[in-house]
Amino acid sequence: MLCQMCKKNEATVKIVKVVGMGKTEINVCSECANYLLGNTISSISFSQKNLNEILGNLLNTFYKYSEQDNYSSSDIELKCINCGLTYNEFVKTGKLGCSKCYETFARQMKPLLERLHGNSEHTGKIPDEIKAHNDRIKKINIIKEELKKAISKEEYEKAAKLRDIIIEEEKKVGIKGNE
Amino acid sequence: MNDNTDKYIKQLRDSTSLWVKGHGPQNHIVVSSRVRLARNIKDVPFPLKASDEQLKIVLSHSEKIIKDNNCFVDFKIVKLNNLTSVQRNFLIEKRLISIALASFNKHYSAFIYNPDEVISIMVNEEDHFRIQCMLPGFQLQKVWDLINWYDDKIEKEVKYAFDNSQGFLTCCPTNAGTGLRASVMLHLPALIILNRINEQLKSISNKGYAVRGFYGEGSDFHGNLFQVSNQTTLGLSETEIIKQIENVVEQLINKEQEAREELMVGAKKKIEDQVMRSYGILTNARIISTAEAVDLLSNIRLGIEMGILIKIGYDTINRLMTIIQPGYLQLTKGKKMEQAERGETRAKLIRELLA
Repeated sequence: MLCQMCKKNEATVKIVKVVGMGKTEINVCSECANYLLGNTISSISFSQKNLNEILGNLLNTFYKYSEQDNYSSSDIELKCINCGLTYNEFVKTGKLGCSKCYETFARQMKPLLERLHGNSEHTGKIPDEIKAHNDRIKKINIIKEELKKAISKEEYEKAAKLRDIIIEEEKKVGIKGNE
Repeated sequence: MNDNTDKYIKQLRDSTSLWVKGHGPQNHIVVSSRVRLARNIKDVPFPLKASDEQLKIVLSHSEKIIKDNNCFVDFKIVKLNNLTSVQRNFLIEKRLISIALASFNKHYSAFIYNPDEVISIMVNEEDHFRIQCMLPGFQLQKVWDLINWYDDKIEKEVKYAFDNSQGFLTCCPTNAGTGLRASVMLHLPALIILNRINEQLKSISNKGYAVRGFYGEGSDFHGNLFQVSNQTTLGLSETEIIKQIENVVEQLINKEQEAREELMVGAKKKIEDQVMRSYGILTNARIISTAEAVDLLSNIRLGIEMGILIKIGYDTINRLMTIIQPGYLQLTKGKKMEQAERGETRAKLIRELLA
């Protein structure tokens, strides 16, 4: 069997990661095994990488391997137009090339993130600028609801005012009015 | 060539990081608390896929941030391509940079740090920025408050790659969301002596947390030191992650405390003997390996923690743990040394500092 990491050498080592009740396995060559498991403290080498992350990456890889059958061949040829990373490269390394990769591989990312983190929705810190933007969008949506209500109640004067506010607010967030 | 590189490395060689000084809450069990944030600049490919020109832009942004912003007035920047392999190893051993940054071998990688080495930022590692904050003892919330403050300042200068649903976008999906890894280093000798450590570690990893050794990445648990950190970065808020790690750490502190109390009742003389024998070896050995020294230093630390050795401070132990490593030793001596020579130099250094 070929090494599942480098895909060049014969796999001679099986690495098993146990997470909770489940376990994942990978067959690798001795060189990749050394790379994965690192060295002892007396010989810190530059080839060492964060074991935790690598195992995490391996995990991603496993999921990809196990799920590949479910994808059409066009998925596997996916390539990010921004950085040139192919889906296959991502499967091999577990690393993305740029922020656009998250969109390019969106279909695969969601289940992957859910498996890695048990969740795929961010609930933490939001940069101020984006927060301000989000707040404006929320505000616009609320006014749009009010506009709908005003129209249904035939309060056209109020509706016209609300429409103007919406156009003004949409300009601020860079959305063109559809007048 | 950056003229200041050698000067900065010499300063770092002689300086003592704040975490090494060891004054912090619960420092009889917790060595240090650390948080790191992974951040990338919007629209610029991550370092693995970025062109030299793009990496250069990231580096210039970093230089500009520390130059133009009052909050970073004391910060210094060191570019990696100016460093020798010994210097790189030294910085890893000082916990200022990661092995990944040192090995990246790309141009335009750098690290930024403040005078007490509480805040450091790796530039062009796996992500554009890896911001790190480290304090002595158990004070994870304070570490988070501090790093969050600096993160806000950087965010004012650059636009981060961010998505409302997936949070901060990182090179590795294992960091996406908050980009936050919180870790606490604990000294747990009593749980080891009483053979209870495995059940504790098993329970922690079953809950989805990672446990690593002092020297991080793949190292064994030398010196009875364990780093506990989160693996989940998406779906929880930063404070939720911090709180969860705090809970796990508190549980470990309680278990270690119980074990120490049991030892003091049932095996006081045995522990005293172990501590004093270790002290004897460390103050007399002529050749010693890092692994042996670290294990013996752990016994000395236990001696301090249990009031058996009162003349030695945590700062001495933390300092020794750092400076006896191969890169640090060679940098201190200003020359490359083979293992045998390092063993002698290490033993001498330990004798001098413990005398």
